[in-house]
Amino acid sequence: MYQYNEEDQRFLQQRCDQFREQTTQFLAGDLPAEEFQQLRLRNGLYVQRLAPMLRIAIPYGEVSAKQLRALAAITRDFDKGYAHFTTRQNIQLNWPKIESMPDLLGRLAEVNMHAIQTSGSCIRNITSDQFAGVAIDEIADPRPWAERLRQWSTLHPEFNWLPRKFKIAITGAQSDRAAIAVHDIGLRLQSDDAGLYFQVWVGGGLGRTPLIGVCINSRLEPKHLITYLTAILRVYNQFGRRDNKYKARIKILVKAMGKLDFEAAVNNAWLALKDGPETIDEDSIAQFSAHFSRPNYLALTDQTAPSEIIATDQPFERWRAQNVLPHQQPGYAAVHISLKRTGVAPGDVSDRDLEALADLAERYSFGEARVTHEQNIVLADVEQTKLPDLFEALGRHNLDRANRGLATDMICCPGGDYCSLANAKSIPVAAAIEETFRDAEAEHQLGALTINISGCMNACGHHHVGNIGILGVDKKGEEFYQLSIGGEPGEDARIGRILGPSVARAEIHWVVQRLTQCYQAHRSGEETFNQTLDRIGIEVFKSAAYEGLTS
Amino acid sequence: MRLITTVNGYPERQEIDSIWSGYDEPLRLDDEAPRSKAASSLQIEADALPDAFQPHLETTRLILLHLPVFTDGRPYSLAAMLRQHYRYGGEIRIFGDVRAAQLDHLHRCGINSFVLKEDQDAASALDQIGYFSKWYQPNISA
Repeated sequence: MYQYNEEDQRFLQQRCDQFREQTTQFLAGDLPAEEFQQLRLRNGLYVQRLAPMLRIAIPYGEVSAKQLRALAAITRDFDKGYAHFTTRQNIQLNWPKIESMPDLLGRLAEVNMHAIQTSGSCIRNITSDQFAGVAIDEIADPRPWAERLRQWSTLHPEFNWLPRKFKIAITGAQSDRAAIAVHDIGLRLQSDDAGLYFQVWVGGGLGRTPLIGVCINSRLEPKHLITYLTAILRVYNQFGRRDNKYKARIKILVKAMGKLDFEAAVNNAWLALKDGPETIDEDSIAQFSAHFSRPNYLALTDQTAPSEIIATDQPFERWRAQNVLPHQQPGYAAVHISLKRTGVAPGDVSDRDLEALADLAERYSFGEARVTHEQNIVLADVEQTKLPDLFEALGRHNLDRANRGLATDMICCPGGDYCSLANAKSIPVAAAIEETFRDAEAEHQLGALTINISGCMNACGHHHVGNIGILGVDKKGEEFYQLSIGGEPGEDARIGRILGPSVARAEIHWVVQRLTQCYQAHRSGEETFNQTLDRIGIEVFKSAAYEGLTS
Repeated sequence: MRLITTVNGYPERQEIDSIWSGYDEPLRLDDEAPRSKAASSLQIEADALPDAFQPHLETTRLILLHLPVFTDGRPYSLAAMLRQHYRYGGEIRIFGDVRAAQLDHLHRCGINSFVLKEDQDAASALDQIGYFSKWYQPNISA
């Protein structure tokens, strides 16, 4: 992973010092609240329903064992001993105090972590594929580019006051695990006979107006990545709407201008930047790539038949089949660790969990872990012969659930339990749905299914791109939930269609169950939920869902 | 680099020859007739269209760039474009809701003269410039 040099560390320390001064000024009444609000947002600090919330960046999802331990200690020393992984490879603390924030940021800086630009109208954390560098369908490792973008976007003088927040995701694999089509800018590394290039997508996003991005450059030479993105941001900064925050994202601008005019405006802005000082030369990208060189893999061979290793252990086999993924290096595997557990909010971890993950990363995966946008953890470099040991160790920490990509692997925002924007709670809905799918056998028979839950239309729970999407709405002071079906993240991204009237909290999990029963009754062969939906139509699901409903 | 403090954070009226906002033609100044197109100083509003005032840049020595509210990012890009796209080498003076905490970023976008908002402390504003020993982007200079 990227190793900070002295300059990087000094920069982070200076950022902490600066925020300490600003906090002191604010608490002394020398800095107006409206100004401090903007400064604290750009250091990750929100004010939530019950307490402040701090969002810490985990750039493109890579985190070391040392950093996990520091996070564990921070949750104990500054919070209530737990934290929450988000859908953008960040981790959130729910109960920090404003006065202690400078110390907290200082502790993060000690392990090269920060909360810079995790909120506010600026470029947010750069996200990527959790299997970067190990996925068998990878064209090129996106991490050197992701780090280059992290640096470029950090305290960018021109783009600190955009019309609205700005999210960039990057993938280098055939299969898009970073949901690039629903980002303000989505980047896809591709290659042909002439070498590597980027496909550049803009104007995707969820929230109030869900849109799939459009491709405005189908072959951008990698050396132009920064200058071209600067041109996009410059057009957006100049022409994005500032009169209405609900119309301020780049997707609205791209839609209003039209793809061709937007593309032309970007190309015009690019004229002054192309081949300029921010052009990426070969040496520079080689330096970045060196940070992501392959770890010291042993010369091993693939263990072909899992049953040869441990034939009678059924839970292990199931876990291996569901949560273990193939790896570029013979004899190694990537392991998905589920944070979707009975009795725990999706994506939540305790300080003990974080320390256990740190230990396991050290013992089994070169001291590194990855965070996924589905709010789970990955150990990317595990020797196949050590999988049984790892499985057993995970079991001791309640981290061994074999549900990757299944119904209980729900994406879920913090919702009304924490968030001041929420119209309704999300966590109890996830818990109720989890209860209906607790029979692992039945869940496996149901197969791959994404259920995504957001407590409001800001869509942090990505409900638009869930096969089943659940959106909390406020109906005369009561919590109701609107359902959509047919959503899809990834390379075939699409927005789900609204099913019908919203339903009460007490009934939502039954409706979800009826939808899955409808799918199972009608699916043909290996059809996915969306394939069945496309074949039989939404009306069949609709009548199944609402039959006998009281609300 | 110049740091200017005024009573209300706005420049003196007589300094301005024309004001450019989101139109192809400049605004009149009160009752005065439109100034010559060979203006020596331009006032540029945040919504101005650079292509409209671009023909006048060659004879311009001072640009007064308006920051209507400190959260408005447009003047940052306008300044950067004036330097990088239009190769304007004269003075760019920012005025309006200019606060100490922003001076560094404004400066790094090619703005070389600042009219601080009245309640801002000039010394702490200057402290902001060069606060960081490293930047991850090249600076845009005049």
